[in-house]
Amino acid sequence: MARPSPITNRVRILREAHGQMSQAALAAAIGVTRQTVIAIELGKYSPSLESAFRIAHVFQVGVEDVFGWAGD
Amino acid sequence: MTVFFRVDVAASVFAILAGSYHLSVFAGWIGSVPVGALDLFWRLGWSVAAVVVLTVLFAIGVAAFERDGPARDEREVQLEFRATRNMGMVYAFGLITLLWNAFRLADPMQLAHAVIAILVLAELVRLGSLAVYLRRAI
Repeated sequence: MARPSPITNRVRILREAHGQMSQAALAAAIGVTRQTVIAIELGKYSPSLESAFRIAHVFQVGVEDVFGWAGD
Repeated sequence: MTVFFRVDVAASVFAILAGSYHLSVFAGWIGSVPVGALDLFWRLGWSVAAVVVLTVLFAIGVAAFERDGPARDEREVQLEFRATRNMGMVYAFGLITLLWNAFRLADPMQLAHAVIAILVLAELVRLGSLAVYLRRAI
């Protein structure tokens, strides 16, 4: 089993708050596959800094509003 | 999955099939064993050409269906990197094994097919690694 990532995220919550944006739509907006968005939401994959900023940009929030450190 | 990733996997599968065919022929399970270097190289040349043509046709087919997808995906790049690293380890161990046994092998045809076996094994490990990493989502 893969080690769980210490990075938490609110991607799913933000996606649902933005008019039930689909995973496919978010994937297209940040330039990755839908499977990668699923992996990010499940905490199985930590995106690159560039993708993290792209996600934050899509939701018009700061990176720290999307991603956090487990335990903080 | 991106078109690149699908085509990459398909190319591996075609290469494994081609290599397995040559090994099966050498084992005497199908067809006739090549007689001499020229015969073997012609057969290898044809199978490499077949792998290239099949991969190109597959790429055209997949690209026609997946026009809107991203060209590259950062997670898939990582998957491919790790799988290729595992393949490199198989190549390294394969070369060491080949060197170790080079003078024990009876004829050059055995040596040539040992190389093909290493290529097939390395591609199998790469494909298996991709499947495992894809499932683990890293």
